[in-house]
Amino acid sequence: MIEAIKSMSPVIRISRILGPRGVLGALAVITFILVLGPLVVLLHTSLLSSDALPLSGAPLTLANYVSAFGSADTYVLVRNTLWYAGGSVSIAVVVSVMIAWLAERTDLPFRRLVHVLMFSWMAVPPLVMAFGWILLLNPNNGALNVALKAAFGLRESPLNIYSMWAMIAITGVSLVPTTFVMVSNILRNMDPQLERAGFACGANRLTVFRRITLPLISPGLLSLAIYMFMVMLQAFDVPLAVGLTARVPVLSMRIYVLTTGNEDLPNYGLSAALGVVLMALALLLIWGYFRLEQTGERFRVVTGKAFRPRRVRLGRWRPVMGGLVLLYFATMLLPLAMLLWTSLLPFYQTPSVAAFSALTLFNYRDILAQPLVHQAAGNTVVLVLTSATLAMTLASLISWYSVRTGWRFARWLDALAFMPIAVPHIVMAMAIMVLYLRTPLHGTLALLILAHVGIYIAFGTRTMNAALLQLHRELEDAATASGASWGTTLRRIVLPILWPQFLNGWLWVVAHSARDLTVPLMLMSTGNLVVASLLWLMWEYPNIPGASALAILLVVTLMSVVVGMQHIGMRGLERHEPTK
Amino acid sequence: MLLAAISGARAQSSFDSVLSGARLEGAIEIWLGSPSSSHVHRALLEAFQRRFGLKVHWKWVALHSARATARLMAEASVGRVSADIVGGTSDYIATLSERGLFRPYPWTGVFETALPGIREPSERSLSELRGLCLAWFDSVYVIAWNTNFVKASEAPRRFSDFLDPKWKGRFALNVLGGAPFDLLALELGDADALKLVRDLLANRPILKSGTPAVGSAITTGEAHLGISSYVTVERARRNKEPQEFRFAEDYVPVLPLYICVPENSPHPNTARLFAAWVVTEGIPIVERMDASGRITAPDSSMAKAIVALPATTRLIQERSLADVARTRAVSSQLSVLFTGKHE
Amino acid sequence: MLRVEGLQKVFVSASGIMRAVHDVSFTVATGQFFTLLGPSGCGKTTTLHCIAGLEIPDAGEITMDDTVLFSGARGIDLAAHKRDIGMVFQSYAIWPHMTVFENVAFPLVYGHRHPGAAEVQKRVTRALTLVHLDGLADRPAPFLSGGQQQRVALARALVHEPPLLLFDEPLSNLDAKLRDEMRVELRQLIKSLGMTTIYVTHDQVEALAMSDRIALMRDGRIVQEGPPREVYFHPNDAFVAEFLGGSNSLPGRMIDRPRNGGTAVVETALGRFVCVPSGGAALGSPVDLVIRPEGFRLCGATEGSKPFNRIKGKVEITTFNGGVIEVWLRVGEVLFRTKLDSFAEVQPGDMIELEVLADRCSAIPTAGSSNTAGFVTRGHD
Repeated sequence: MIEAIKSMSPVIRISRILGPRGVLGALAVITFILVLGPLVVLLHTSLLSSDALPLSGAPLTLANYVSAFGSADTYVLVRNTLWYAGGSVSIAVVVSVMIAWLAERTDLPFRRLVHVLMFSWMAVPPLVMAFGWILLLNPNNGALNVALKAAFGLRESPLNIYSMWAMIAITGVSLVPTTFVMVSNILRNMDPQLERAGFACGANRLTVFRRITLPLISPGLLSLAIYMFMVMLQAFDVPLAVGLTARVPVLSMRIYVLTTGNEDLPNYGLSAALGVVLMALALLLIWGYFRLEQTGERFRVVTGKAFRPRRVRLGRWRPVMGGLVLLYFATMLLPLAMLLWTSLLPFYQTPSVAAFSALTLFNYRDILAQPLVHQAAGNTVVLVLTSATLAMTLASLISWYSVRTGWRFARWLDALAFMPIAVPHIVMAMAIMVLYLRTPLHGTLALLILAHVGIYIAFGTRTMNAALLQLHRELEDAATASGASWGTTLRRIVLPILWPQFLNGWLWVVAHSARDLTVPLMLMSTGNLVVASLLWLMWEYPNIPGASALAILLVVTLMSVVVGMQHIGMRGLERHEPTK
Repeated sequence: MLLAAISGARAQSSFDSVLSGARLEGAIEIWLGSPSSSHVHRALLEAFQRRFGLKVHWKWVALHSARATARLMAEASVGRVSADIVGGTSDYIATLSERGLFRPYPWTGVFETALPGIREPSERSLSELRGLCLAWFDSVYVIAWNTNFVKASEAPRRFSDFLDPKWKGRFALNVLGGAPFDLLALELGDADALKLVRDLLANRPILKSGTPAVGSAITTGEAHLGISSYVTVERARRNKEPQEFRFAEDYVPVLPLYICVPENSPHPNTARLFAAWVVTEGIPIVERMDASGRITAPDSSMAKAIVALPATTRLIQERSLADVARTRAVSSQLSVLFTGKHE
Repeated sequence: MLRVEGLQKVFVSASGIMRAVHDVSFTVATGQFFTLLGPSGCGKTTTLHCIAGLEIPDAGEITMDDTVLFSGARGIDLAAHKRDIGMVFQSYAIWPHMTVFENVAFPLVYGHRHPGAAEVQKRVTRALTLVHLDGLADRPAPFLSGGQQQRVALARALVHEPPLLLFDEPLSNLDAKLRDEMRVELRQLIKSLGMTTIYVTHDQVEALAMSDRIALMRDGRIVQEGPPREVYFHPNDAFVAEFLGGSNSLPGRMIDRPRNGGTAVVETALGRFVCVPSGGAALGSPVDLVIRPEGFRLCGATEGSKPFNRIKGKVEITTFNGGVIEVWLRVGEVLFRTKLDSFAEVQPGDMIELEVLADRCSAIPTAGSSNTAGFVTRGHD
């Protein structure tokens, strides 16, 4: 991106300050508050010994870095972590690109269903999902193993979940809903003319996909991959559930155990040390990505010319592709089915005909009757709606400045907004608590909102960056030339065109905000209980069936929200699709 | 005699002032992670209010001590503690009292007349921590198994029995905090305790994060047996889950949990009154509803089970702050061991 | 009505400083169709964007009638959306989420004039009629063909009757036939409305066909400005000559030049030529003789010879184009491209003699780069 020399006539700038630059200033202030504070706390915490509080005057030490990275097997942990993160993200991206392309671009049957299911499944906390997989695949009593042994008269269980491959596979499959949404967004505004040109040249569908579609969406995919990779570097749910037993340690797992193991004096410094290292990595990745983005200019694809997203006919491949998607559905539904099964029992029993007689709705009735649950549900609604709206709005504005104006300040702001990806949720929550300790916000739901907005802005900027990159700037210039002010242009042109991506992103944040366990737990107080904290408390009791029931309720709730949204939001879009 | 009368009178007046203070305060905020069910909370608070004729606006946050610590320290640093009651292990109490969050209080002196059972929980704490806290209940580590897969006759009798190859890949262990092996180190010595864990790891255990997770793994059959805690097993049994347990023949590790009232808490009188009451007259309620117990509480069924143990079985507990320091050190090493690579 | 003076715009990038617009000045009279023509990167689009307000110049002045749009010296910069212009973009920039009506009505609804709903309806309908799109008002934008989108863009630019119209290569994305049609139609429409127009293109055919005045730009500067005939037949330098239609070039020296207008004489390796001096060619200086392909006449076999303005050579290639026959003639080392009356019977291999019409060839100062002899073109045909 190029910027003009400002050496001449600085007076002129003033006339343009109110409007774009003024808002940029306000945006910067908000972002600093949301992001810089936690980042500073992250840095400071990593240098504190375990019994000191951040922002106190305690002496600094590098002991945490030594503990986190200094053991003899650190190399093994790092290597495993990279394998795990890289492998699961790769699987997730490959599968979601395929499914997203089929759902967005072709006449795949039941494509609306794909959307609904993907969004709903995002609401399941990974901890609970991992549990479902374990119920299926553990060698001692996994439901699938039991069934296979009975069917084929085997002595040993054929499937063993405790291995690196199994970890990567189940994580990858479970990540698909999350990545699917991001890939859909990228595909949405791709000019189908370009694909159609490929067909006109005689290329078959696979060639077009490989040589035209894929290269065009690569920048967006890269953005997505970077984000997911950073997230997975810190993920510890599946590693704890499966990797511990499999003796495939990853770094996040070690740090979690070291931190939480000493129950009374949690050593957040360790988490922070990991976070700082990840932040350095994130800076590197985002710098590389920005450099790449400059070449992304040529990938700009929505121009307003001939914008007709006509769908590719699958023809005789339709049943095969449909079958593949159904196969994925089945793969995801299995662990969810185990959860459902568990939620309908007083305690888990191996699925069998006899167990059917024990089925009961008690768990659901119990949950729905508790006033605490009602309160938590209300808080959750406020939390997710506010977090999603704030995060996506701020992210969209930051992205607009970064992509459209190319001002260096805006670019820095964009990079800054991405940094929280490296901050472990534990540390983010603690940072928020410490920062707002003396304010009336202490102990309220507002803290959760602040933490979640800070965390999810990074997702928002990646999504809206990709979307804005694909939007030709002449669409906005035409509005300006027609006399519309900057605000009008954003409201009447940019937002409506990018509405599908915005909405998708919004729903994504809703789901992830609803399912996040760590932040609500850290900041829990009497006034800000949310469904996730209740779920965790049940889990810890252990009241697994109750927690499963709550997870199922989360999924069902989000499903109805998505279906509702589809009716309102998507109908406006279908209007623009040819009926053929 | 006169002195006794006078001190008795003074004690009585102290108790009266606490009670009237509680009446005036009329509120309490409790941060205890266990019991976590709101049914139990309500039962306790209602019984408490009935017992002393109080009207108390109560809030109970099931904040685990790990998370409460950070909040408590942060709040104390700006002088606005919002919790009236918190709980944790000896380690926790020691650390926070170093920061001045807890001060000694004459529990027995003030409450013995009204609540005679107060002496035992008050004196249960480590001598270095006397007066800072009251014993709440205990985690007692036991050998548990799923009756569908393991018969009582073949179930292990000692922790070292888990090394038997017939249990390879079938038993579950907790990795968080290192219990009970950090406690075992007090008896066996650090080196032997670590060696035991290493050998156990070679027998391919199912590793879970937290003792409740071990319990649920046994119920689901992910593991056929494991090292769990009395409370976890008891809760499962009450829920009709197919679990059985026995105490290990050689050692029974015990980890006591304490509750305290922080300095500068918003409602100190109500807090102290409730604390004193809940560790004495509250115990039967909690045990009935939530299976938690204390091995020294007279009416606790857990206590009765412990008393019934043979004399050869040793109870292992931390008995001094030096012990606490040792278990903490072993715990860190165990964490690294558990999260290390396959040997 | 539009005056641009001393416009400067510099871009800084990782690869260095680029002067996109360097001291550009011109005036457009009311009702005039003014074209900025040049190859890509010459600064024509940047200049247009500066006028529109989408770019901020670094120095200079832009005035529209009595309104100062921009003045570096006086520190004035009118925001883009406050400038009273209509603009058609290369990509048309039709908003896909709106209907045709909504697209066209946008400037009326969101601009600074706010006519009532009835007035908007009236004006939009009138604009659509002007571009022959009546009846399509309710069609959603994505359902339009390329040509229709272009008309919608035009209607949108016209609907609020701005004093100035700006076009940024609006025809470059149409297929050839449509482009030919639109060229004529567009000019007719604009002229009938009497609108002042600034048109940017790299297509010299378009520029020549549609404009009242053309300004040729290269590397940020205006190289020549004038009516199409003048610029075409009397280029100032080799670049202009090669860009507009291509030209045949013959190096030589000016040996005679009249004091006040009239023709000059140039001595070349192929003989002497009487021609029109251009671009300040000086007596005795090395010049290039520039002859348009249309500047030749086939000499009849029975015609007598003349000592000047004649070339004789062998026909290499002929292409029959219907109205014109293109003849590539080799004269010694030089290959000429000529366009002759198609009734001439010329075959490859023939030896023919051509007259170079004196009023159709120019002598321009030799530029550093074009010391070549023969046909050179830089423009698009």
